[in-house]
Parts: sequence; C-alpha cells; structure tokens
Amino acid sequence: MIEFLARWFDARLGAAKFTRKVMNHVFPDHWSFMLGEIALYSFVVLVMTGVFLAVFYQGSSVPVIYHGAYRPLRGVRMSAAYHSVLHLSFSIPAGLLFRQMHHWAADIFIAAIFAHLARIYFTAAYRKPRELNWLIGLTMLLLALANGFFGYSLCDDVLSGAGLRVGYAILLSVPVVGPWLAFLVFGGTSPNPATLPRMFVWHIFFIPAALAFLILAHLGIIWRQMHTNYPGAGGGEKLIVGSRFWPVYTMKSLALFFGVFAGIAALGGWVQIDPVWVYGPYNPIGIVPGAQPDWYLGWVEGAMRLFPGVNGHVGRWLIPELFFPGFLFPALVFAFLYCYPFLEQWLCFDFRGHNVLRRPWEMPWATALGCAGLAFVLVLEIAGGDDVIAVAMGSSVIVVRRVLRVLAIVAPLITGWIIHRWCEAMRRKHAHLREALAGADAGYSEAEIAPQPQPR
Amino acid sequence: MKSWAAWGRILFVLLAWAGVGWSQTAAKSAEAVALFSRHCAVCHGEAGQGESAVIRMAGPSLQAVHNPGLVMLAMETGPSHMPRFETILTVPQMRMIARFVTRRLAVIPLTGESLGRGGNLYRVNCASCHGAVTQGGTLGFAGLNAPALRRKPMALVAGAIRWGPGPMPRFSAAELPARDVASIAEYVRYLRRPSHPGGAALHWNGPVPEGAVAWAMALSLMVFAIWLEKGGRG
Amino acid sequence: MSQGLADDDGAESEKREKSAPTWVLRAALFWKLAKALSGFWLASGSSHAGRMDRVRAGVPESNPPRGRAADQPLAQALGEFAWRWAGLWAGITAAVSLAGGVGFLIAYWMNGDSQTLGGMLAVFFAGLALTLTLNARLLTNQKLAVEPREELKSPAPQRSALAADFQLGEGDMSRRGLLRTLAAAVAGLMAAMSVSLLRSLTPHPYRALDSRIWRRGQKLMMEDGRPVHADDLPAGGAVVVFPEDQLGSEEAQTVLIRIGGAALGILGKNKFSAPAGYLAFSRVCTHAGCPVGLYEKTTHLLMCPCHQSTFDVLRGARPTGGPAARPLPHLPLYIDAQGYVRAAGGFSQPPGPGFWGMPA
Repeated sequence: MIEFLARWFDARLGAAKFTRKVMNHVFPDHWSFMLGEIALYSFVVLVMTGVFLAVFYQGSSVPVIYHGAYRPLRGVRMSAAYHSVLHLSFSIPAGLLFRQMHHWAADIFIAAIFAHLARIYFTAAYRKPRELNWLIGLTMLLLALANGFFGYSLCDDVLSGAGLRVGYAILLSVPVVGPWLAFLVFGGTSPNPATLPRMFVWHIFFIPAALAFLILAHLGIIWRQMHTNYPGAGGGEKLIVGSRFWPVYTMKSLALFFGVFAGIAALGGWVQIDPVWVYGPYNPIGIVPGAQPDWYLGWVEGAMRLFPGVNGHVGRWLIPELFFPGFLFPALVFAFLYCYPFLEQWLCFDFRGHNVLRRPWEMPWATALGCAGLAFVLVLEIAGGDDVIAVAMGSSVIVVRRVLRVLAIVAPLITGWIIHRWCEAMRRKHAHLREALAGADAGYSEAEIAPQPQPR
Repeated sequence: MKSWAAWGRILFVLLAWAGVGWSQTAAKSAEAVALFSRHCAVCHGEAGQGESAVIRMAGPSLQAVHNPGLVMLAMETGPSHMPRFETILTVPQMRMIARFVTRRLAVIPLTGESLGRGGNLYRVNCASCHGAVTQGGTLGFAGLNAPALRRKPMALVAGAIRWGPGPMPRFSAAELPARDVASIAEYVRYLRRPSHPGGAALHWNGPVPEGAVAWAMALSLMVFAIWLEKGGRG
Repeated sequence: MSQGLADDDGAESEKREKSAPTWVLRAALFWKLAKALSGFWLASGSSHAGRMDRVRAGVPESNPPRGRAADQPLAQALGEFAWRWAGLWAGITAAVSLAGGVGFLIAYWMNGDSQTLGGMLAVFFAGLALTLTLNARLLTNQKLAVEPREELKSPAPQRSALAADFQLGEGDMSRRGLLRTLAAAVAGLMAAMSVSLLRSLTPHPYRALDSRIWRRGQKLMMEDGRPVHADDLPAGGAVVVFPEDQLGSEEAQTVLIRIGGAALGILGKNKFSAPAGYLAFSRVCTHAGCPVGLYEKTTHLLMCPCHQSTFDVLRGARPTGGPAARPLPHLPLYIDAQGYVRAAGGFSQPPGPGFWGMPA
C-alpha cells in the first residue's frame, strides 16, 4: 500500500528525492528544543477546538432572555454572545469540554512560548544567523497575547467586561493618538455593540491566520538554518548531531503531540476554567473582586496596580497615570526584546554566525539581566493577583501591595547579583573545560556515525 | 452553625408541640414588647433592625428570623458576643420573645422570586464586595476584607442587607423591597452548593489559580519532554 | 540505570545492605523489583548529558569523541529481559489508549458529562503518547546521525549574477526613473487609501468622550426606572442611578450616597455641600474605567474592585490609595419641591479614564 502510494505520488510530483532528504534531516536530541513544540501542539489544539466553538458562537450584543439548561440563569437578560457561550457549554455534547480545552490550551500555549523564549535567551540561540526567528517568535508572542485578550473578552461575562474596560482605558491613555486608537480597536467607548463583532473577526480570522503564517515561516527558517547544538554535543559549527527526522524524531515529536493533547484534555475535563455561568452576563454596573486577566497579562496588571497614581502633563495636555504601567512599560519590554540580539552584537562586537549555543554562565551580565527581569516579572505577576492573595491569607491588600512594591525593586537586584556571582563561579570552575568541549565538538569517527544516505 | 440548626429543628418541634393551645392575648403581647425592649433592643434595635458598631456588629438584624427555635436557642446559649439569658429569663418569657420576634419583627421573607432574579440582584448589589460566589473580597480599609457568606445563616444574610453591619452600606426598602432581599438570600443559599459542571472549581478564585494550574501542566509537559529525550542519545 | 538488576551487584552495596535494618532491605528489594519491571521505562541509554557530566567532572577520556561505549545498541545493554518487558509495556499502553478511545465514544453517545469525556480523551492521547515514546526508545539503538551544515551565505559570483538578472528588468521606462516614481506614487496612494478606510471603523472619539452626561433638572433614576426620592435612602445607603434618558448606560452610571451624622460636619469643614446628606459621583473609575462598585459606609470610601483605588467621599472623591490619580467626577444635586433628587448640572469632569486632551 505504502509502496503504491509512494509510486503514485512520485510519478506525479517527483517527490521521492525530496521526501528522502526531509526524512534524513537531523534534529538535535535535547529536551530544551522541545519547548517550542509544546507551543506548536497547543496551537494545533487551539485551532481544532476553536473551529468547533466558532460554529456555535455569536459575536453579538443583542439582548436575549435565557431559557436554557442552566437553572440559575433562567429568565436572565443577557447578550446573544453570552447566550451562545452558555448554549454551547450546556446544550451541545462535548461543548463544555472543548470550550475548557480551548482556554487551557491558550494558557499553556503562551506558557510554552514563554519558556521557549527564556531558553533561547539564556543559551543565546538568537545570535546570527537566527535573529530573524527571534523577531518572528516575539511577534507571535505579541499576537498570542492579543488573541488571548480577545478570546477572554468574547464570552461577554462580567470578567470580559472588566477586561474590555481596562484594555480600552489603556489604549485611551496613549498620548496624542490614544482616543483614536481606542475607538479604532473597540469601535466606540467600550464596551459597546460594535466591540464584539470586531474582536470576533480578529480572534478567529486575522490573528490565527497571521500566527499560522508566522509558524510556517518560523519552522521553514529552522529547517533551512538547522537547529543549534549544545557545546560538547559533538557538532561544532560545521555539523549537526542528533536523530534523523524519520523515524526517531518523528516518534518523539508525535509522542509529545499526544502528550500535550492528553494534558489539555485532562485539564479541560477535570478543572473548570473561566466558569462564565458563575460570573454572570456582562452588565454595565456589575463588577467582581478578583477580576484578573489570564496569567500572561498578569504582569501588566501587576504593574498597573503597583504603579503610584501620578498624572503626567505635557503643558496643559494630560498623560494619564495608566499610560506608564499599562502601555509604556510593556512596549519598552518588547522593544528591548526586539532589539536585544542586535544590541548584544554591538556591545560584544560579535558579528560572526554561531551554530553552537552559549552556556548561560559564559556571559554573566546577560544571564543576570535575564534573571533579574524574570524576578521583576514574577513580582508583578504576583501583584496582579494581590487582592486574591490578600483574601486567601486573611490579610489586607494594602499590606500585601506595600510588600510587593518593595519587592519589585529589591528582588530583581538581589536575583541579578546572586546569578552574576553564580555565573562567575561556574565560569571559573569550567575554565579548563573549554578545550575539552571544543575537542568533543571536533568530530566523530566514521565508525560511530551512521553515514548520511547517499543518492543511489 | 450546623449544631445550631439541628438543635433548632428539635426545639422547633418541641415548641410546636408545646404551643398547642397557647392563646395569645393582648396583655401577653404587650408583655412581649416590654421584654424585648428591656433585654434585646439595646443590641438588636427596637424594631429588631440590628445595630452596628464601627467594624464589628453589635447585634444582627432579626427581621429575617422565622424560626422561634433559633431564637430560643440563642437566648439559652448566647452565641458569639451575645450574653446568655437562661438565668435572667424564664422559659415562658423566652417563648414570648421568640414568638414576638418571629411573628412581629420578621418582615423579610426567605423565599424569593427566582434564582435568576436573585442572581441578577446579587451580582449588581453584592458581588463587588463579596465576590461572584460569596467567597469574600478586599475592602479599602486596612486590615479588613468583606466576609465570605458560605457559612452565614440565611437569616443573618437577609437581615444584613437592610442593616449594613460595619462598613457595609444599608439597602432601604425603596431600593430593595423585601421580596428582592429574599431573592438575594435565596441565591446566596444556592451558592453554598452551586451546580458544578466542568470539574474542579479552584475555589472560584478566577484566573489566578487557573494560571498556576496552567503552568503546572506546562511544566509537567516539559518534564515529559525531558523524559522523552532521556531515552535518546541526549 | 540502564543495566537494571545488574547495576546494584557491586560488593560494596551488598555490604551496605547486610548491615542495614530490615525495612531498608525490604525497600531495596522492592526498588529492585520495580526497576526490573520497569527496566525498559527507566532505561535512559546514554546521553550527551551523561557524557557532559563525565567531561565536566574532568574524567579523562582517552579519546573524548570516541568514548561512546554506552552507545552500544540498546538491546545489548538491556538484555533480552528488558526487551520482553518493553513489548509488554507497549502493548499495555496501546490497549489502554484504545480503551480510552472506545470509552470516549461510549460516553459521548450516552451524553456523558465533560469530566468523563475529557478523562477518556486524556487516556486515549496519553496512551498513544506512551506507546510512541516506547517506540522511539526501541529505535534509539540506531547510530547517532550527523549532518553537515550548509553555508548560508551565497558565494560572491552568485550574488552578482542575481544583481545582473535583476538588471534585465531595466527598460526605457525605468532608465528615465519613471518606473521608480510610479511605484512610489502607487505605494503612497495605496497606503493613503487603506489608512483612510480606517475612518469607517472609527467614530469620532472626542464627541463621545467630552460629554458631562447629566443636564440640570434631570431626575436620578434607579436602574429599573424609578426616580430616587429624598426619603428613599437611609444614612449609610448607596444606590446606582442614571439620567432618565440613559438607563443602564456604561458611561452615565452614577453612585448616589447618603451620609449622615458626624460625616456631614466633616463634609462641611471640607467645603462640600450635600443636600439632605446626598452626594453623587461618577461610578466609572478614573483609573481604568471599571465600575467603582464598593462603598464603605464607616470610612466613607468608594473603592474600585479592579485595582483597589480608593476615593474619599468626604473630600470630593479624591483618590486616597491605589493607582488612581484623579478624583471621581462630582455631580451637583438639589432636591425639588416634591422631594425628588435631581441633578443641578453635569459632572464636574468628563467621566471615565483619562485621555489626551481631557479638560483639566
């Protein structure tokens, strides 16, 4: 059967040569190369469950009265959007499962991107010739954050309302163009009837399409440039060492694919996420404490909570306090990340290409900077949930916030200092290893290496 | 609270039995009023509307207490800050007070219109402090949080809406008629055991625990990847 | 680890075991048994990580790149024993997976709840993942693969050839610079057209943003359309109100508070007036636009549950804590002859979060 198919396609496409080349492409064996794949497979889950949900979802604010299966909301006035979410959750077989899987997959998708980004940063995999993929990856992270926000807003429950208000206020706060920008994205003062249809189009069409395109570009570039290798893995600058695409790498990758699927299905089945029926439909005057964004925007939320209430002024023009933590800070973070590979090239005056990764301790200031940044983001993330934490601890949010304000300044400094010390120590300890590693990378004997299949 | 309710139920049956043939006369009613205002009104107010100190409650509202057994029990045992009355009052006197409270003062019913209406009113009037699922929330005043309502007796919850203990605002009858208060109380009772589709609820604390769980799963998947690669040649 | 039972046969470990108490022996036995059963599972072959460890520890390798003894075929290292278990494990996981799939189908057609469906789906995929992992393990007795990297940079002749090819497009028009001008013009026009189209998506913001919402004389209405009478609220009460033409509007929502007692004196000292103790403020937070849903009657604080900004009602709703920087806009009130509460004008500021060009 396989032979028949192979012959059929080869006769029409001449695919045998190409397929063979693909199958013999070599991928390095290290778990840290799999982080991006977790993100990729979460994206696959997102698309599959998302298509299912899009069939039932209505992006409309038209008011309707609920008469469905969920008793406590019967007779309640709500938007058609919220109604459709309830309907697909309670009246469509497997609807609730797929909705929860979709949301969990989104959370895990961005967690995996985040871990992937950290791995790339700490092993300096962004260096020439891989700057392009660094830029594409960051763009995908931005798009994923935006789409997460839109998805959170589409349910049109009380939390969506809070998210939309804050998102709108952040855009509104931008100097000069803010009001135009906010009205462009939200279609008026938010939330308003124009908002949901817009978000729906962005959420299910533009951003997923852009993500899919960028993922293809990302993978294509990886394929062309090949992965990096760890120092000592044996490849050096000229070779790549690992397993072939077929069969070992394919098996491992498929196993991970199904593992990701299993994990998300387990969460989707057993752990509630965003129980919109508990929060109730969006209501202009309704709000709840503990209205947080999903975790991936928690650091911005935390920055907004910790930042002191100080207006800015340019002459008689107002720059609202929200602009600094809500817009300027994340914009600066991403601007820094976008520029980082080029910044480092100039700072270190290193314009060569690199195929061998850098161990984190070999560039102490970069690692220390990264860890300090992580510590800062972690404190902000905690601050984003400070009211929930305060209630859980039986403490006051004012006390918790005071502690976190201090930590936000102290924690990165201490972390950076400790990590710098650690890197220096490791560097001294491993000084004698450089040559050994270089020797290991010098090459393998013919006997150990399966020869690359030659064209017959 | 549970033992309260159980004892209350037993006492209620006993009282119902004891109350057979009890004839209420005008004189007795006047005596009951006098007893109430002498012993109870200091903390609970003349109309049983409840009195409030700055932070703590002085005495809760009695306007939603429909169970005479509960009143008897409270007078006998003196829960929380309440003094015990078993040595001060005789049993017939206590009975009189209990009847007075449940028949004259309890003007707020405990059965509302519908869960939907109660839920709507709860979300608009109560949820911003007590949370979407009565789990409690933060207040602006240092050291103080809005309490969780899961373990509060229904009579207290309904009474507190009118009375506004501590920092809680009062809701007048013009704003929330008795029926609406009852609807809210009914929804609060429903939230003790809400229907539970879709798995573990993470205490309904929203995206904060959800983010933690998502990271736990992401890290587990990374551990799986480590284990997967360990079988390879590294 | 990969040698299973054989690993622990060293004389030293035996000595240790002999002197150990019974429960340790038992635990060791149990551990050995578990290892034998799962020998294949725990088998890690050899890894670069392991090799790195050796290099790191400074263990001299006579010929570092060649000392890959542990890269022997896995079958040899584990022995027949482990292989048999491997097959068994793969069979078990595959069977579990298939059972999960069947279970999903049954649960689905019997309208099972999402817990059952999700669980079955998870079992199905987890089983598959484990089976494939085992399969990958079985395949790792293949030799290490190495592939040379291609030089990405093209050689100079090819680059210049590309430039030459590109020059072929150069005709009469482009030589006169016409083509370039045309391209620039078209690009500019297309950009202008697309940007202009954004106007369709964007209503004029300032008209909506500059509104003070209330007009003098409007009654304060509760959400269901009942007007607020001066007798309606007790001291310490608060209610959400709207102008009669904007019931249930996001921007127009206003919180009406009645204060009494000593607070009225403080209010007077702060030079604010409250007819019959009534005060009204915009209920949209000036920080990020959430409804300021929380009022504390003892401290006279309004608080926003989103970011915990607090506003002091007795001082004109000035922010006293949290991230907000501007006070909640104040709505002046009067009480008419029938005793209804009415607006004496618009908000002191446009309500809601700040923006560029907001009147000070």
